Amino acid sequence: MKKIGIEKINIYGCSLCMQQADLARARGKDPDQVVCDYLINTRSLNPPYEDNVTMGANAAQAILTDEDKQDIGMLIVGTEGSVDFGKPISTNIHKALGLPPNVRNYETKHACYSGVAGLDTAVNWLASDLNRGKKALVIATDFSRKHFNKDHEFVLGGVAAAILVSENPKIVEYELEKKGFWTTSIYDTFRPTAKHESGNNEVSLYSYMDALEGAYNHYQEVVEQPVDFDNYFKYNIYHMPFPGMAFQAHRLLCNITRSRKKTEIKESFEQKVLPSLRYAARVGSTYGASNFVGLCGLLKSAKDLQAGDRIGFFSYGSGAIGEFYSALVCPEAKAIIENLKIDEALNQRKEVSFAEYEKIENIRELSIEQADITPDFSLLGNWYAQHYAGKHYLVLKEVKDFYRTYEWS
Amino acid sequence: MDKEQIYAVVKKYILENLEDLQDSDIDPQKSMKDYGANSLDIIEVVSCSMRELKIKIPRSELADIKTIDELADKFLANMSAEANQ
Repeated sequence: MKKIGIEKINIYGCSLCMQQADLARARGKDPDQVVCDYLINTRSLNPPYEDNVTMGANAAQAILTDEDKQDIGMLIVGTEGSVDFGKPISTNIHKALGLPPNVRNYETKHACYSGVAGLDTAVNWLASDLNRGKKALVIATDFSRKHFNKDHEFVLGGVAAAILVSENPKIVEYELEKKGFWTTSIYDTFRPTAKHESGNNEVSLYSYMDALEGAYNHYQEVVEQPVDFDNYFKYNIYHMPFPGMAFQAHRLLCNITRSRKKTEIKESFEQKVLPSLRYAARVGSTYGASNFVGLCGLLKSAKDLQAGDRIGFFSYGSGAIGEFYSALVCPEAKAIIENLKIDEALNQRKEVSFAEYEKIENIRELSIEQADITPDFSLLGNWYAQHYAGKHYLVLKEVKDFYRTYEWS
Repeated sequence: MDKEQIYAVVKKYILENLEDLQDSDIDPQKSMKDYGANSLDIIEVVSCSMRELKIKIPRSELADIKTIDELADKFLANMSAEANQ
């Protein structure tokens, strides 16, 4: 069977951020407690001239050569925050990246599962041999909505991930036959309009755990051999609506295998899961990009990473679906991640004050579903001139009669 | 199995998962939140109890339960329904 996996990967954590502690203080909460509960240090923010299209394109553009672009035969973009109900943002990104015309493209939606839905389709397309040697570009791009003064204001943010899936994997190679999934219909969190993000946090946490148990049990059935959880997976990456959730997910799988005390689970968590939280702690909620953000963090942070190490992944999408799948680390992975300089890119973000956060979130919300928008490029001390100009980032130039125009900075 | 036995299992996992709590402190008419449990602690108590009691209820159906007593009732109802099938 041929090898299929990620050849290139990148994440884009926006150009602005806010300290979680600043938000906690402004909302009258104990900042240390809030940071400790959710394991989020900073959350990403976008200026009004960025959206899910620009985030996705900016994640991909940084890693694709002209040769890569010519080799792409499929582009799938996962999002739960599209800017149009008919035209998929994969077409906007296809144009911005200058991909060739003979590319199949579409958008996937399934809350935070959208990225892995795209990944699974891409992997299967390559496995089918119908790709004729072509590669697939999968992008997941999401940004939270405005939730001033709500409990879940502490688990917001945004990030995009781009992965090039090919028959020449250099990051991870997927175990094509090892995946388990589980579906139910539930209203846990959902987006009934272009502005609302509704739901019940507790129902969503409970549903996540149902899906994790269901998908992991299905994975074990599919693998057709007893899975010794502690030794089978060197690392585990879980969907992170907020990074703190990963501990609870790991706790469930540890206890399915053998009931154990919290301290023992904590030790296992620190060794096998904590490295994957590195970037989620800096962007906040990771939505559809979650597993890819976790993977970048793990490859960067893990101290004893070896080629062939098996990683267990869990992806969850509200609504709901869970998928448990696995992949093996490629020999080149560590060196490639080091060269990406993701930490450095996140360090370049402008830290905004709480007041600036409220201002730009209000501006962003006002622009939703408007026929005409001219983003203010002078905001935040002319951040565009300092950070974007001449650096080749995609930005939203204007919306005129609902037509969106993007340009490279 | 009767409700007392179910309650004993739930209580065992409350004590295991919440720090600084004694057996005698627990009032079944209260919520685990009254004893400092967060949503994730409650999920863990529910998951461990269901595993030991061999109950399979979607956790999402338990989100609206307010007290420890109501949780034990829900478990008992599920076990009775299973036994009658």
